[in-house]
Amino acid sequence: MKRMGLGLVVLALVLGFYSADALAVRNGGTFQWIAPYGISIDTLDPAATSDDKNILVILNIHRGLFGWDAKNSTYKLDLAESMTADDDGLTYVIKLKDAKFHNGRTITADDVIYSYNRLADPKKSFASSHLLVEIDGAQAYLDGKADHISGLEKIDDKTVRIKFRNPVDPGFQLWRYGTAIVPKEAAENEDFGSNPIGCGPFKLQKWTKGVEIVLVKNPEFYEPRKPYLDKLIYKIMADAAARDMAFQAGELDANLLYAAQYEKFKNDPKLSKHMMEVPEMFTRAVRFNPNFTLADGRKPFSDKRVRQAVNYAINRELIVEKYAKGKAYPARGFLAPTTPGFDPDCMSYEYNPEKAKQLMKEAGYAKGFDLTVIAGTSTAYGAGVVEAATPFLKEIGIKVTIDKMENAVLYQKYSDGEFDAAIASHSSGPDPISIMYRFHSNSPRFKQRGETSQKIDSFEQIIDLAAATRDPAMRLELVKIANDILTEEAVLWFYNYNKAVIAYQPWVHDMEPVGVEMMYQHMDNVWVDETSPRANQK
Amino acid sequence: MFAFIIRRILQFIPTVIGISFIMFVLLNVLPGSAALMTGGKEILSPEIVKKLEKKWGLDKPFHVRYLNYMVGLAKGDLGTSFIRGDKVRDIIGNRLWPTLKLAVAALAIACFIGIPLGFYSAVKQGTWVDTVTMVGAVSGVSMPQFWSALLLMYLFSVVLRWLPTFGYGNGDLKNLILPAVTLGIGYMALLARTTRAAVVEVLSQDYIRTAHAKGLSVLFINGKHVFRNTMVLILTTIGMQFGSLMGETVVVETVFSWPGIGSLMVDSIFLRDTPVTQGCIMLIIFVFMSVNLSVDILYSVVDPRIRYD
Amino acid sequence: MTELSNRTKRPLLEVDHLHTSFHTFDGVVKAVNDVSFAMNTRETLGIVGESGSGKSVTALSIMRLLKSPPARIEKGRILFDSIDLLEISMSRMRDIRGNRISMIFQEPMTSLNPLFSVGNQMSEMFVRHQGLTRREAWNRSVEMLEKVQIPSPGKRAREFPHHMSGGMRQRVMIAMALACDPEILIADEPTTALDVTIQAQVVDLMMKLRKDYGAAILMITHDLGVIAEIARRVIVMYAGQVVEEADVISIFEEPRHPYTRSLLKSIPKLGDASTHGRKRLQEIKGIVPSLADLPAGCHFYPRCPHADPICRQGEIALEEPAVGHRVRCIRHAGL
Ligand SMILES: Nc1ncnc2c1ncn2[C@@H]1O[C@H](COP(=O)(O)OP(=O)(O)OP(=O)(O)O)[C@@H](O)[C@H]1O
Ligand SMILES: [Mg+2]
Repeated sequence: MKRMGLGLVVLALVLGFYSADALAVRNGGTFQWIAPYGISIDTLDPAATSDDKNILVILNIHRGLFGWDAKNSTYKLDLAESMTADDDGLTYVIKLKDAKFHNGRTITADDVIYSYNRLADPKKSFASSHLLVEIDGAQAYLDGKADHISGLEKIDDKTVRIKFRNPVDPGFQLWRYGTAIVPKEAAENEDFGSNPIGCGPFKLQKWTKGVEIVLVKNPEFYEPRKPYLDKLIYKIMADAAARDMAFQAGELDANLLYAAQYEKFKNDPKLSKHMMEVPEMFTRAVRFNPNFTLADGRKPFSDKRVRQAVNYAINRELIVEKYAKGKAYPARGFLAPTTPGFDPDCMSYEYNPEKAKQLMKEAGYAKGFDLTVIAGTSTAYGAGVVEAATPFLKEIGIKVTIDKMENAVLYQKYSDGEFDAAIASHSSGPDPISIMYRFHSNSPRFKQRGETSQKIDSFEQIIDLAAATRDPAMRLELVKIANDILTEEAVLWFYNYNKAVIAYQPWVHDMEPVGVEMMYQHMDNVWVDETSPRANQK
Repeated sequence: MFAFIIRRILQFIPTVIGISFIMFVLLNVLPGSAALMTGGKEILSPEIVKKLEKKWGLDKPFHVRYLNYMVGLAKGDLGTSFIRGDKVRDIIGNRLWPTLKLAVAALAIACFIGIPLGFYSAVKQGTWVDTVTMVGAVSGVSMPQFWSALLLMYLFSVVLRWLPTFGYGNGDLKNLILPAVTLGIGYMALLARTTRAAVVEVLSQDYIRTAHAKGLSVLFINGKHVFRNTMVLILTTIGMQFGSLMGETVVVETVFSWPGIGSLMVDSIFLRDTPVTQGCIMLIIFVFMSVNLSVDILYSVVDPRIRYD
Repeated sequence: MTELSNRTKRPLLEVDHLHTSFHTFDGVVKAVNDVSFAMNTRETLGIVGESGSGKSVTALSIMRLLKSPPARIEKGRILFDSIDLLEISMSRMRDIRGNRISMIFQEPMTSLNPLFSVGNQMSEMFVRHQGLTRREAWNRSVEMLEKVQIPSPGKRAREFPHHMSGGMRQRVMIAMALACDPEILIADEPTTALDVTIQAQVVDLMMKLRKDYGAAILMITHDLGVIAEIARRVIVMYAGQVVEEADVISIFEEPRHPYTRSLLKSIPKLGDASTHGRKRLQEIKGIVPSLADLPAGCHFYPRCPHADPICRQGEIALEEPAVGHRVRCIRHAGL
């Protein structure tokens, strides 16, 4: 009896294990998903856009040599089967997986070379062309000084050699979806943006402009068993409140939450169970213009102490909690927590108005000054934030006027350097070195508008060293130091990192928080169980 | 009459030229650049921006661009979208029908409910029916579309689950209902009030007293004499409303993810996709002028005092 | 035989102590204040009085055309052919309107619906009261237009009011009013808005038609000249009241009420420069009292040349000093 009991327990365990396994992944079903950024998808040609609103669809149709590994927050091999580095640290040999385009044709090294040359074609002026600049000869081709990219070479049908101009990490350069591999026979067509052919897990079935994009499973996808879903529908829904309704009505399988809904979901024990959040690699911050000049000729932001004073003066935790309704992480410095090289123990500014006042006094601005901050319409990083910060700055004598403007105008002014201070969302990942390079006096951005008042020599030395270092662990150590230097120099008023939140229905499985951009959801991993109302919908 | 229509259509031409010029100047002085907007959240480097602007012909002087545009317009070519790369004609063409459908449905709701309501309330002037209707009409006008949209959505889609929350479907009627009602409510209220005022005015006219003196029944008088004269008074309002409906669909289109012209235009303005903006404006002007013309023609049918020779 | 004589004895229309007032925000306006008179078959009765004296309200009360609110008929009876018009249902009243009692208005320019042809609007009468088909009704309308001396009536019937002059429109109104051969025609200042020459034509037309149709006419006017021409008996109204009633000759020869006398004095003398062109009654000194706030006693007191404190004590009754001659003045005998 006893033995039998034990046997039953074992059996039950085994069965349980099996059934759990059987439950683990289910094939089939339709997933109603959203395209939340704007009223339309403009193009599905990966080269033609660098706008996330398009990319979030593109990445499920197209694939490149590399992709993004959300779990480990780094790049991964995708179409590339393997990558071996030559001794010079500049040349890499990449072998391709056995993969086919949606039209059934097998992908070869020629397709890689074609796709990259197409992207950099100076006549086409593609929005994503800058992604290739680190490949040797790409810049010359982009500038019209060469007739192709010299750094690409076919070894055999399945192998290419890529040469870079600097010792960069190829994955960080080429994981972006703009560098996807496309078939020449389709990509040469005028309407490739509307009738894309890729090699990703889903293929385009129907696109009703302004309404929805219907993708269906690519049965010949190179990753075995994937994708699990039969159909993936992107509903174009720009309005957050309406999305919330649709999600509540069960018409959406998942939803991107904004601050207004986040509070409700967070406080609801049932809803909060099916919710995931991640700090995105966007650092919201105020940029100081070093050339901002007062009536008496002094330039306050060229003084590090003034910039530090601003960082001490404002209670960013309070603003995040009250104004952003907790849907953000107070910033500690430039790099975001999901960016490789982020150091949880890095230096940061606490709220310390006394110290701020002290610093202002030392810098000779005890009386403060008047400042105009330009800001966009975004609730997350626009005029509202500056408004919330204004009373804190008044405490140290900085009297703020807010100049609120439309995003297009803000971008223009920002790009032209026409401001005293400006609030914006800054990309802060995923490659820490290239993203921090904007503070280097050699970068085109710095040259054009000057990111900081003076070039910070110590920072430049460290970042140059990091770029030249080939040992990954060592590189990241240097990145940490460089980040600390930027923090100490107070190059920005560090406000927060976006907390991106997705809520999903209970029947949805294996969505992942993605730090680069939450909406970069690789839908080939996602599956729905029997309880989905669309579990068997084709 | 025929000569009148031809003459009016010919008058469209200078109007179009005038408005297109103003539009061109305004869109031209607007700060911001489409190239910068293609980057999404990322701010593109100056080289890319310059290249894109060259590709779109934005490096050419203003008068050259205007001339090119007008020549294209004369040939029926509205240009190519900066950001989408598609022909503006196709982009707009795709969205014209949904917007027209929405506007017509909203107007139909406004007319078929608003006019009888206003009529009834004018005839029952001062009674509680009148009071309730007019309070409703005023609150209907003052309720922001955004709120009425969400309220309707919550009630009919989330709670009752009768209608889809959003989307165009395959042009199904059930998808049209909520957006059309949302858009129609305000106009319905406006029309109810306009109708009421018109009916009250007509009722005080001497010829209505004459009609009563003739011993005609109230139903007959209202149905014939009052109605026809009221129509003359509200026809302009209806026509103008249809015109403005076309331009005011943006909120409803955004909330319900309705693929129409309104949201397209606003979106293209924010993205500085000038060819699309221009195309939308031209289209709305065209609709506006056509509606005006139709109203004028309709007037000559309803009102014998008006004759176009 | 006896029955017939009984019927002829009985007046066709009897207005009996009619009180009509308007309930407005400024108070109760007593527009008609105890008006009584009677009218026989085929008789032409004139009502004269200054603007605002309540002539139209009296007429509209008979037709029950006053809008309520604000108007309210407070008291009184209106007997028409032994029917109390104030008691019957609205639908019965509508059967009488236009059919047995019709009315024409002061403003020919606005009294016709601008959107329908004249023939169309006339036809309504025949369809409504005589149950004719549209075609028959149309033909009858054309006939009626001919009767009111409108040239080429067949063509005119298809025209719209805006194609016609004021005189022409008033003829149309008259034709419409007489269409169903009514027993009473109420004409509320039918000529006031017209040119002098046209006025004469319209008055002539009415006199001719009176003979042909035999309707009793209640002729409301400012114009004593018209009254002299058309009416046998006259009622003079002042501030909502009948102040004098007599046959035309008595009113002109021996007016008893000071108000009537002033009225007659204010008629321009023949040969005056002012007789040229259209002319209303000349102003009488002072202003008509507010009907919302009437003075006690005689309403004419403030303007009366013979005013005496005794005139202000209590309501003044309508006396009948001579047969068929009534007057509302306590001092009439002494004047
Ligand atoms: N709807 C109304 N509301 C308030 N008062 C009214 C209304 N209609 C008429 N009255 C008042 O009733 C009084 C009598 O008006 P009524 O029209 O009968 O004068 P009338 O003798 O016909 O003058 P007229 O010669 O100008 O036509 C006037 O003082 C007028 O102000
Ligand atoms: Mg009158």
